[in-house]
Amino acid sequence: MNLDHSQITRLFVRAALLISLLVTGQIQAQAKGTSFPLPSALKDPKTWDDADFIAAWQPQKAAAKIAHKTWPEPPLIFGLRPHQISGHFIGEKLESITLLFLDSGTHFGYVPREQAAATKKMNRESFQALHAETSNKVQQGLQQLTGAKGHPTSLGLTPMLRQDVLLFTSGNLTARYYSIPEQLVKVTFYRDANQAQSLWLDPAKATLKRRDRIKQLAENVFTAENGDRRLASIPLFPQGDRAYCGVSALAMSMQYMGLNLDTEDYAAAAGIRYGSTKGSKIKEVYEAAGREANMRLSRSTKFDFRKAQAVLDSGLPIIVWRRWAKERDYVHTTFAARFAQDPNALLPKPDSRDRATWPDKKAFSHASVITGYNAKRGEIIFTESWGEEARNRRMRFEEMEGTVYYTFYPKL
Amino acid sequence: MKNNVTSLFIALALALWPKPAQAIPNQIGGVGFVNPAGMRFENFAVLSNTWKANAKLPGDWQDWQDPLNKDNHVILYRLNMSAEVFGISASQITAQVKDDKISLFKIIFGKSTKQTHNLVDQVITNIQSFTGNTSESDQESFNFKKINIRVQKSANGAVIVTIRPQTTAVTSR
Repeated sequence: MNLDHSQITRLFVRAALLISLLVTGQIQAQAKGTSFPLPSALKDPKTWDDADFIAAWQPQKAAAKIAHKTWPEPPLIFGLRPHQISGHFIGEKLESITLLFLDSGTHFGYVPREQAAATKKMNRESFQALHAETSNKVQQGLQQLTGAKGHPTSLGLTPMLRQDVLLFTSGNLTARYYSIPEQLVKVTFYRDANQAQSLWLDPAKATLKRRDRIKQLAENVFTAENGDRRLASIPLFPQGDRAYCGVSALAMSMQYMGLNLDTEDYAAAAGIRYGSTKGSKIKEVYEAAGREANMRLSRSTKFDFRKAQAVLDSGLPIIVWRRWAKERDYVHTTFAARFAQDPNALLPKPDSRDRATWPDKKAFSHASVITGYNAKRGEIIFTESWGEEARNRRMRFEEMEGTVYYTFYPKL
Repeated sequence: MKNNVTSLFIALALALWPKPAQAIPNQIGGVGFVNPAGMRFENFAVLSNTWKANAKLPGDWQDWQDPLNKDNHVILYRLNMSAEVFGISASQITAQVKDDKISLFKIIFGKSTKQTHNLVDQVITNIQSFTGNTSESDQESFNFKKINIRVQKSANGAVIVTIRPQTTAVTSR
């Protein structure tokens, strides 16, 4: 092999870089981070406290106290590759790990309403078979892992959100297996056995007195220098390419308020099947979630800026279902980027030309979580279930009032 | 009779009742031109490098003939893939190249079936949002990063946007 001078130089530089990375331990850390430690991660809570294990979850830094992070490349577990492995963090502490083996929304992706019936007809039989095979394999895997058949129990108060689960003791962890035909197969491993037997993040919260809960929630409100009044710690659960905006918004709001149900749980309860919301019962699931959380999610067909301010001031997030168009979304996306650079930037005035571009009844429907406001600037601050880049966006309150068709105000 | 009226009322109420939330996939603007270019079309169009000699056009472009083009020194290309410009799906994007430099982009927006509002208002609002110039609501020409963006309404309801360096922004064809 003949190498010229420049090739030799390049090889030398690459070798030097490789040696320096090995010396600094960066490659070692990366290699450690890519393999999910089995079976220790499913048995031993000490593994959960290992610094390299914690560092491997993505994103490494979360913007909220409650965060769902994902493991980069799910390995084969019980002979199956999960859709997703997510770690539930509170602060820096990993509280639980969920293995999502099958989720209808993830399997089918977003299916427009007009294609819903055909998608169901074409896939129902094969998806039912896949669900049966997956749930069998996962149950068998759990039995092999724990040496037990699992203890059946029922969680939740409302018929809609009640979960008939199997609990397994896995080393020093507790595993909760949950399956719904045509919908979902998941297992969550908890440090705390009490948590595994509760729908609450912290079971102690469920027994808090009303005034203590109100006080606790109000402590999450802060005022920024520019006059923003915002809620801290709203977790962000990306909906992905799934028809899950309504249930993701609900999961984000309810986990902030203490109810430990995931996006996929709400999707299953609402019956969002074969990738479509057609025929699903999302509004009913909202009501049930309110009852589970010992509060009321009152529904209004209007959005009222004054009322919203009062609700947000008490530390409660608001969910809105609104008309949405990608052409209009461009304004909010570009403004978010500009506002990050220039805090004096202003949204378009809601004049006749601007109003003419607001999405109308023929536009798509979409759910967002309202996490704050700025009364001086006349802005609503909202977060989309699309990822961290869509956190704390801004919209003129007039536009929110003009495009919302349902507002869900929580009340303790 | 009474039953019929009740049924009619219920049917009417159900028809008028808002439909449940219909989520949307979050792949906004993430198709077509964005993939080879690594950025939205408008971001590419306002880069100074785009207008330098021998600058490459990312994506799939094909030779294009326009009977209105009387200048033999101008070569036309048409983008052969989908693109959203200023957040709106473009019907057609052409590039004019003269003396090995891109001299103009022409974007045509056609009215889509889903769209119920005024297309020209939408285009202007979104350009204002992109440039940060929201001061004049009836503005139709924008200068941004030494680039001129001009909006014109055509007779068939389509909207034409031209983008070119400010120094050559004399009149739009």
